[in-house]
Amino acid sequence: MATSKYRSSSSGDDDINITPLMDITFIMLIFFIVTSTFVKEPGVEVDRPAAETLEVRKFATILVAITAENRIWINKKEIKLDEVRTYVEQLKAENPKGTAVVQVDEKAESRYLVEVVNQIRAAGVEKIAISTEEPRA
Amino acid sequence: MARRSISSDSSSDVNVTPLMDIVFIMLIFFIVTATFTREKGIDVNTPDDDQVKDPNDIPPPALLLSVQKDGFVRVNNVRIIDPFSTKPVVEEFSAREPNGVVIVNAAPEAAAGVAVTVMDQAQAGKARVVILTLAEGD
Repeated sequence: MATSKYRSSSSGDDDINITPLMDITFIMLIFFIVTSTFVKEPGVEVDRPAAETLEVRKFATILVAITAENRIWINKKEIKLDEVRTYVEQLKAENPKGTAVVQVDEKAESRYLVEVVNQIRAAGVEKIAISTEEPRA
Repeated sequence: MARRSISSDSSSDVNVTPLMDIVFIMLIFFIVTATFTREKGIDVNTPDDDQVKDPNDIPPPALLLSVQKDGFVRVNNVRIIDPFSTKPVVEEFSAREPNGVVIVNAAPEAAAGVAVTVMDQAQAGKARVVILTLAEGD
């Protein structure tokens, strides 16, 4: 009787070894938890200026966009120039180690670029970059 | 018979199905929300307003590149060059003054792309420090 029970459970494929599956799944889970940063995209597409000396910016979590019409966008919202500091401080609180990247349209006016950079600096972010693209050969 | 009783005693039949469910759901959530932003860019520096300066400090030699509204660049308020020929000027300056700083002074109405080009050219010309400022008035 016991033998028949054993045989039925064996034929029902109950004893597949799922330990390697669990291992891989946990490793993937840990990888995605560690690497995930919840970036708030500005939500507008800008025409970036080209630059030769560009570098990849890591941990860019504070993204500010300035469009060709000199409108400033953070986190899919259009904001005024003097609100930039408040929004950047909020984003900085969420990701204290993040760096800031200003996505400026090449046709925007310089005054907005300098003012936005100044406000990001006033919010306490030290590493600020301007988003550029590779020069077209 | 003996084998079965051993495997039953060592409690190898813990039900891991709910654990797997939760783990898979978390895995799928993190895969879906993962955004790998690849932002490329150049550094930008602006002057510090609140920095207390020692009055006995000698300021480092500076090269002033004024980005004008018309898209040309005035070097030290003397001559006017094209933004894309800034690099040799900066190279010559940084060879002459290794401790020098390059100040990119952008007119408020000047296109940001030109100011970025000038900063990029200054970096490419091995400038030690590049500072972006805004021209007064204009």
